[in-house]
Amino acid sequence: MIEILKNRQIILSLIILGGLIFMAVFAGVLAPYDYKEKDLQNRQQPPSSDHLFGTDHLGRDILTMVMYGARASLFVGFAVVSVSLAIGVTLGVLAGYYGGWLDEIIMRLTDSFLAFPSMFLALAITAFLGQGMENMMLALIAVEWTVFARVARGSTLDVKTKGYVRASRWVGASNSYVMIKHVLPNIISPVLIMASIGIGNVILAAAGLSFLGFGVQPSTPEWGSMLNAGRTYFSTAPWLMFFPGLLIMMTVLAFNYFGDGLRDALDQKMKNLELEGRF
Amino acid sequence: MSDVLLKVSGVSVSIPTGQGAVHAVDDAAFSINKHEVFSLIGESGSGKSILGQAIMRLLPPNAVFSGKVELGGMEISALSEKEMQKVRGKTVASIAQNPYLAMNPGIRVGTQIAEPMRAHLGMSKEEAKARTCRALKYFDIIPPEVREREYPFQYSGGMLQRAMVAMGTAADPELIIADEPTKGVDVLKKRNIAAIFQKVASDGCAFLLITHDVGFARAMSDRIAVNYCGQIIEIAGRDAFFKEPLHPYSQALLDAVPERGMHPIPGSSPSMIEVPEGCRFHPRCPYKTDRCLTNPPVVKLEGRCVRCWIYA
Amino acid sequence: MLKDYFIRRALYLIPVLIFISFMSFSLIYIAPGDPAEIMMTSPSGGYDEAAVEAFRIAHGLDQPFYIQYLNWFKGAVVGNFGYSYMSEQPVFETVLNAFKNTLTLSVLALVIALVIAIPFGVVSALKHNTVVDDACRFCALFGVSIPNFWQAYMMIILFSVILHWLPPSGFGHGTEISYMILPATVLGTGSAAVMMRMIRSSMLDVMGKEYIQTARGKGLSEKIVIIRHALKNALVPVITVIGLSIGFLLNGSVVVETIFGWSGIGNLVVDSILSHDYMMVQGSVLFVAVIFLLINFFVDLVYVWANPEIRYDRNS
Ligand SMILES: Nc1ncnc2c1ncn2[C@@H]1O[C@H](COP(=O)(O)OP(=O)(O)OP(=O)(O)O)[C@@H](O)[C@H]1O
Ligand code: SF4
Ligand SMILES: [Mg+2]
Repeated sequence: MIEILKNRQIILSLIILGGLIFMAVFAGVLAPYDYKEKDLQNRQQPPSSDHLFGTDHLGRDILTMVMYGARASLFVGFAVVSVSLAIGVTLGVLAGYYGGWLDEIIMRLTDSFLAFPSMFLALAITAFLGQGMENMMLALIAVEWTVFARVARGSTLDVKTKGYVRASRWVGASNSYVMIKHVLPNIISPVLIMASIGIGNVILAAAGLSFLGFGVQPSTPEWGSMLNAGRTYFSTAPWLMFFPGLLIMMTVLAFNYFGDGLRDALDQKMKNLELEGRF
Repeated sequence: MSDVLLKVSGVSVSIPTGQGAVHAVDDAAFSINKHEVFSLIGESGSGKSILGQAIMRLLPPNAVFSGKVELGGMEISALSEKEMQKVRGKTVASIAQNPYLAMNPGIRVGTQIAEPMRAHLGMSKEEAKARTCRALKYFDIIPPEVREREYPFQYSGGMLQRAMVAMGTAADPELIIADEPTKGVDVLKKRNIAAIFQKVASDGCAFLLITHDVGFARAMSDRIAVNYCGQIIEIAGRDAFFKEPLHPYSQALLDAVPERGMHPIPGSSPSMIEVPEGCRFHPRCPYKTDRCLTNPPVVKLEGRCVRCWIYA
Repeated sequence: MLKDYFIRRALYLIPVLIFISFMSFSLIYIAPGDPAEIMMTSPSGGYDEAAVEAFRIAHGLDQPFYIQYLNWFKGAVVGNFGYSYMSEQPVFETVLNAFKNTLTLSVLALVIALVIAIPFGVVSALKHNTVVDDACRFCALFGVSIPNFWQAYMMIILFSVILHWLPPSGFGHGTEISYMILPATVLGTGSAAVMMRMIRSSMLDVMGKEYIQTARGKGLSEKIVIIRHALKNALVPVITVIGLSIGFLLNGSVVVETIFGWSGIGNLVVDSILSHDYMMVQGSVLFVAVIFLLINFFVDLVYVWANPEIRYDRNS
């Protein structure tokens, strides 16, 4: 653990992520304006000392909206990854631990989900469920859980062959005891790495869906939908798109940078966990 | 002295690592004559391979080298990398231990053998190809026109070993450095390797054989050098050495071979990072005295030399 | 041996193909409400009861679920994905045409990605653990983190609005390179980043191999050692990322084609959703999944074929 905290890459990304989360939580205090406050006199103002990031087509302060927007993006990222992780790890551990037909079914199911390019699957699910933030999150979960199922299954298979796990099964420990006591602790590192990279991917995908108009609706401040709203004015008021996009990129980069650093720090063996998220 | 081919003097190599610097070679000095087969023997990790790499100037990039290496009267340790490339494969070539690792799996064997010819003999593609076929035939790899176009995985182990020798000798080098040619090889294969090497040696090529196989060294060499913990501690003619090894470590090494009852050397190999003070063998030497805690001199006696206080 | 492997892999495909056809078919049932109503709901939201009933009978929607699935499956196997609700064109044909356009763009994107990834990956490996390497690796992370829709607009602003070098969007005849450069570059960025990391680690691996030292021992210059002895072997594993990259490119096509007005499959899906053309959505999604699955299948075979050792490994 101490080793991990010595890693410059991890520290740096943690500071950035901490800052972003702080900004999201305290947006109400930190933001210079009210995000609902329209100022029709000052529409599409370029960045100035009054409005550091400029104003949008309704005269709302972009900096304020970007700060509130962090809430939606981070919430979607964490929530989708938590649920996906719970589903994926459970199925992956069961498949890896019991093997046989259970493994076969779970893995074929995973393969089937993986067969769809993620954006198409997410898009189709949102299309049929209907637009909106909850449905978008469901769609993203449907895509994201497979990553965890595969990683958890692989690590479980690894752990299962270890001497101490065999020994503890040999002396008659119950399956659930072995899974919780031995298997789970050993798959934490790879799952953590994938979770960090996964949050980045989910934020990116959510922004993409919102940008297309299928996710968070424009009434809630969210980076993707701000970009969507700014499309019309991109050539006359590029700052409408510039700042929310920049924030998305910084956030995703920080999560990827963190996951990357974690992988380097935790284990050489995990070098082969590429940045192969689903998006 | 005109028949000295390789002269190594005062060569030291250390490699920095996380735990400290590894003193892999310390003050090595010896020479190899033209047409001579010279063996460097010693236990694993004593710095034999690093010494070979130092001569070829193919050390790990972070290794620190000092000393002088002369080849055919030219100080190759002072050449630029570009000039050294004209020497490698031309005057001195190396033959690695494991042909499966040493041959590029993605390139035709013939192409790999032809590379030194194209690089050093100024041959055209066709000339090199013809010469490669002759070389393959010379080493019993037939039919050469077919084999030349095959990839390493299509060869058998023995055949690939011979192809590797063909590659090493492609540009008619004067010296070949062969590192552990018999490591992990059964008796029959060992005999085959000895036969090929003797064939090459009888064509007039000198050898530096790096090995910890005492029997192989005895069968092949004109002279023997013994390496211990980064230092050469004895150099002698083959017959004199096996008749009467002078250094206590050499004696112990010969007593450890199966034919002499396999008496293991007491104690364990020293660390290459914190080497023992004075004589490096003193923690394991039955003859050690107080003076052995200071560096022993290299004593020259009738055509041989030994690094030990007993003979001072 | 390769044949056995091929057959075994092909057999694995069958349950997956059935699963994905089932998933695609069921999509319409996860929608709240009756599929016939959804199908017959006009974009403005209203629908006509009689038309819904007629539609239901005409499309066999009054039959049990599994019969409907079987009927649909029978059609899908022979490439009959039904007819567009909007244009009444056969779905399969429309999807196929759109996919051809996506393919054109993807191939160009793949080329751009390789052109970026190979030099940077190689340099990163050769200078590994130096500032250059760190910078290359950071750029790669940057490449996978940049939102493609944002990158698209930033590039349009720079190259079309400010510099006037390229048209901001459009399809032309589907063959003009000037319309393709911007979208292909945006698409290629993410793949370039993934490939670069792959090439770096594969190159690092190869440079540590003994045959590289042998090549140096022959007196070859470092440049020749790298190009002739290392690069070729280092690029073989890159075949495996091509499958992954196709996924990246297809995903990216949704946003990129929409922004640049490129008539590909991503654009088709988005348009079909907006116009409630659910048959088209269903057909496109199934089509893309099957293509993606088959591409990965073939990429895997090519990789195994290119690697005699692995071929052996996977059989045992
Ligand atoms: N690249 C390297 N970095 C650090 N230390 C090294 C490196 N290569 C070799 N060494 C160390 O240098 C010492 C000498 O190694 P060398 O390979 O020359 O031994 P050797 O006598 O050839 O042994 P063997 O019979 O096992 O081949 C060893 O202690 C080894 O650990
Ligand atoms: S110098 Fe002393 S310790 Fe070393 S070998 Fe000779 S007698 Fe033994
Ligand atoms: Mg060695």
